[in-house]
Amino acid sequence: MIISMKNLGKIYKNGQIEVEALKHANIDIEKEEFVAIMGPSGSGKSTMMNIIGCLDKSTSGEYWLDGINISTLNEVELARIRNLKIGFVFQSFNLLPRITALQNVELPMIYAGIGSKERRKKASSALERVGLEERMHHKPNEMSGGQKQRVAIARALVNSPALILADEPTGNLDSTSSEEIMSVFQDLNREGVTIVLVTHEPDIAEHTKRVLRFRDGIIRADETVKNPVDAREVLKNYSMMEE
Amino acid sequence: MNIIESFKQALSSLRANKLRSILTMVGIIMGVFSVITIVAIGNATQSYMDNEFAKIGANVLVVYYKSGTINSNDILKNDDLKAIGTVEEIKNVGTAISGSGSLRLGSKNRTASITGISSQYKEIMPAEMAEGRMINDIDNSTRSNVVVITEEFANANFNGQNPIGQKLRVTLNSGSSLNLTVVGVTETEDSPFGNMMVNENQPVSLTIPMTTLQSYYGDNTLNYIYASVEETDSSELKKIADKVVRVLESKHGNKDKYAIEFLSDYQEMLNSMLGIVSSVLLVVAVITLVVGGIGIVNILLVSVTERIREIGVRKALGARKRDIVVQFITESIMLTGISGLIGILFGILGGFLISSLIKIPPVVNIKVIVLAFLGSVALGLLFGVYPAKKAADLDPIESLRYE
Repeated sequence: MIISMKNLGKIYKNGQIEVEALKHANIDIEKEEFVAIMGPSGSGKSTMMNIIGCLDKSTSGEYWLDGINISTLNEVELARIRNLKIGFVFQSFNLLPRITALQNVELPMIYAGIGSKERRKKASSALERVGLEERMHHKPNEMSGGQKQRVAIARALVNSPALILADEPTGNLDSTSSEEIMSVFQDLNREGVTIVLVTHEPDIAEHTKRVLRFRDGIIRADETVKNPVDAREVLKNYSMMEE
Repeated sequence: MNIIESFKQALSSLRANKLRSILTMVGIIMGVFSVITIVAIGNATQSYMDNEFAKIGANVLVVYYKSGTINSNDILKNDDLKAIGTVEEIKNVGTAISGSGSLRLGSKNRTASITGISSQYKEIMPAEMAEGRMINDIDNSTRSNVVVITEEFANANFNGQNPIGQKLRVTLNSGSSLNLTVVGVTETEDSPFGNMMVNENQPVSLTIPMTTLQSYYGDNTLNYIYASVEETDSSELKKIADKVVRVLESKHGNKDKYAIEFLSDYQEMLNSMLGIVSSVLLVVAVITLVVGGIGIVNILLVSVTERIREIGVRKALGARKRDIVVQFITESIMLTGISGLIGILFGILGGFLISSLIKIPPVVNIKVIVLAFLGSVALGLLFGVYPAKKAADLDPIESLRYE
């Protein structure tokens, strides 16, 4: 079990007003799953993502990640968990603009205290894994959106996390790039990487194996995707259409 | 994150904003530069003065008249030198009188400032001889027409000929003229204002026996008498001064006409004045440094605001608060540290430059340099803390959302 949530709740206090963003969430996610979290804005999916990503803590219930009770950890320990157990992929890539793709991928390893030689080796093999070995010395502004997102995925992968957490990873991409990114995710998932993806696009969610639908802070549905869309097939169709 | 890594990252982010980094550094460079230069010049002046005073060696006292009515029997005469010499603590007694006149040099007339010195004067106010000898006992007892000139005058007027034995015709302002034979040349040393003195319009300085000068003026009034003592303890000096005054008073049969001061008093006074000037300048320099430091805070705060997103990303990737604090403080320390080094370099150069302009040998004080460097690093630490803390306290979720 990678993720196990028991009766998880989150209440935001804003002065006198309390907002219950998440109510009694019970979720279990197994190793090698590929889960999409869906829901309109205000549904609690962002709150769920922040809690899964250990950027925020729940106000009630328990959250176990890879066998660790996250609810009991302090700020320093949370940073360590984010560093080693979670790989973030963001909608707006969030690469540091001044440094090269390779250096961006090295960043999580710097905080993990890995020596520079090993960092370089691991970073370049992560970039190879997402098919970007030729652009590793380029800076983000010399890359397309799809390439930037692949750098971000390489960065997320590099510390071999328990989980990749992607927040609207295709939100800033055209449909071809989106499919390419989804194909990278599907490949990784096939290789055994657990992925949780937050999206509001049903097309994207259909690439995953399981969909959790949120509304008003409650999980309304937990569905298995019967026939996930294979991004590689879609890309093949795209190129055939162009011809 | 280790230290090398932090330095690399800090360097790369400082390089990303080159102009901004350089402008921020200028403030600190100026501050450190001023501190170093001021301390260097202060030290140089101090050691120059100490040196000059040390040349005199023993402590020197000056006997002069108190203000008030001076009657004819109060006037100090040549035989008072001997009288003072009877005080056992006194080593040498000397005096100098001055006159003025003019000097014919080829077709030009130059004014001359003539100093008549007693025989022991050279023991009290030593002068380095480039050639020949100083005025001595025999010159004074025989009122001989000999003269000691300065090196620059010798160089300018005798075109490489041996100045010793040359004749100079000097007309005193009283009208009488003297034929003087050069017996010695004093070395001209580099002095703060040495170069400014070399000027055709400046009077030529000539040193002749006191008695010779007095014989032409027909007057043996002394304005002051110098005496040297070995003693340095100030209470002992006070006693010696009292003795000297008593000797003179009993000889002249008067009271409260003479006063005594020690050269060491002047030295102390000069030193304390120099100290005050230096400290005032130093305060100004330190203010410059603080203003530079505020510039650093300012620019780091801008940098934090600009990089909120980056801070969020770093936190999401596993940076602890401590890592972010270290990152920003490293940038700050790097800014001030590098500025400190540049400032020190310029400061030393500036010190050398100004020293050479005012002809004082420069004094490079390692302690001050190390202090200045550590000080600028400390400044970076001090001024980096607030922006760094601000950056580290940012909420990762908000920062990641920040546009």
